Amino acid sequence: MAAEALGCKVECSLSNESQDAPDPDFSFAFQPIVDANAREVFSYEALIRGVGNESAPHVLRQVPTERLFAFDQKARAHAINLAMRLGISCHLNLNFLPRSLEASPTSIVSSLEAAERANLPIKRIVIEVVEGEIIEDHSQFSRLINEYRGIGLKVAIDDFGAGYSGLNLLAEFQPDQVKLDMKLITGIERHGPRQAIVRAISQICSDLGIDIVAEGIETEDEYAWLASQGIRLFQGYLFAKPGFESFPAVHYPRT
Amino acid sequence: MPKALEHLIYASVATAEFGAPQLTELLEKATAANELTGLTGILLHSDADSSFFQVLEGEPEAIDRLLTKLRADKRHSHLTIIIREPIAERAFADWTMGFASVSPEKLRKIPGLNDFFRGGSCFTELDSGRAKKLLAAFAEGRWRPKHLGARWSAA
Repeated sequence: MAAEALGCKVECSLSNESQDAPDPDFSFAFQPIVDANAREVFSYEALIRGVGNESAPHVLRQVPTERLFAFDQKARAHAINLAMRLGISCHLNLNFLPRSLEASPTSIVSSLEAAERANLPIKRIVIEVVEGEIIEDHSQFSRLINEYRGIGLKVAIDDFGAGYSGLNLLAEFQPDQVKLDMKLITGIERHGPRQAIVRAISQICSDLGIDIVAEGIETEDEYAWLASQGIRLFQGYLFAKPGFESFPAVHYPRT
Repeated sequence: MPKALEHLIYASVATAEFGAPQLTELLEKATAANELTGLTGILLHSDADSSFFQVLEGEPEAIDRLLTKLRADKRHSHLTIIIREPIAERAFADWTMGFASVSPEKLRKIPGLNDFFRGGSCFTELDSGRAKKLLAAFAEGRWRPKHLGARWSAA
């Protein structure tokens, strides 16, 4: 539907500074993605929060629909500034609202400009896109993104394995990272079908030079199984919960 | 405005035996040609199964022209493009065509390659870029003739 219609609305609202409803106040929490082999933080994912650490949906449902994409851009610029103030020295993973890439062509550019202003090198930015976002036109997505990859931007497919399109997508577009969906991860150490799927994804990713991030790791058993398959990038409560306006301390499992 | 850069990574199967003389000649020609076209990269060859694996970096037009020649080249078959995409910087900027035979002893003897294959671990570094990750995958036995659909190879 309405990609064009939405795009128009966003541009209209961007060009019109006076707003009836002000944007809600917001801040960010940061959750580390760790390299368990090197025992170091590989990246921080910026997660939007209320100023009192309220959840992302709590913030986003206060934003009028027609303001969403503009708000999303503003929020990412804020996340970049906050990460810089906190002294980020690794990658920074940034989220994009579903449909924002196609509906709002300025969404990437504005974040790259924000990074430039803040002196964050583009090659340390990883944008996270959900696989559902790109099923409709893989080649269009790939053209759009590749323009920015030429200047060093990295791309992660979020929630990989949650939809039906993931493997199909890799035929057209090879991201820098895939983030395995938490549904695949939970209890994987005792679930044969999930193990078979993750093994297959792992093989594909190593054939194509794609890094795998296992998300939503909560137990040592999940971690031990995934590590045994050669996965080394992890994100989840086992390592660290998101730190509100901070980079939290990381717990590394012994194994 | 800097010119657009891409890398092309492919694997193929040698159709005839490639001994040291053939490889040296191939490499000399490639190096001379690449100096003119601004291409850089690395070529890996495995004696064990007669396979080639090459990373090419440069302007898209130069890559296109070489790819046309490579497709017509009878010295290999089953040319399979693994990755072609824009890159921000070259991983092999100083090499008009690096070459390595895929055995750890030989790799260590080639100046400059040490950095990538040091102790068999360096090239799995997470931030090393896709080209080096794929070189590592090839060195570990991926993208060999049996994966490319070749029923035989010269070895």
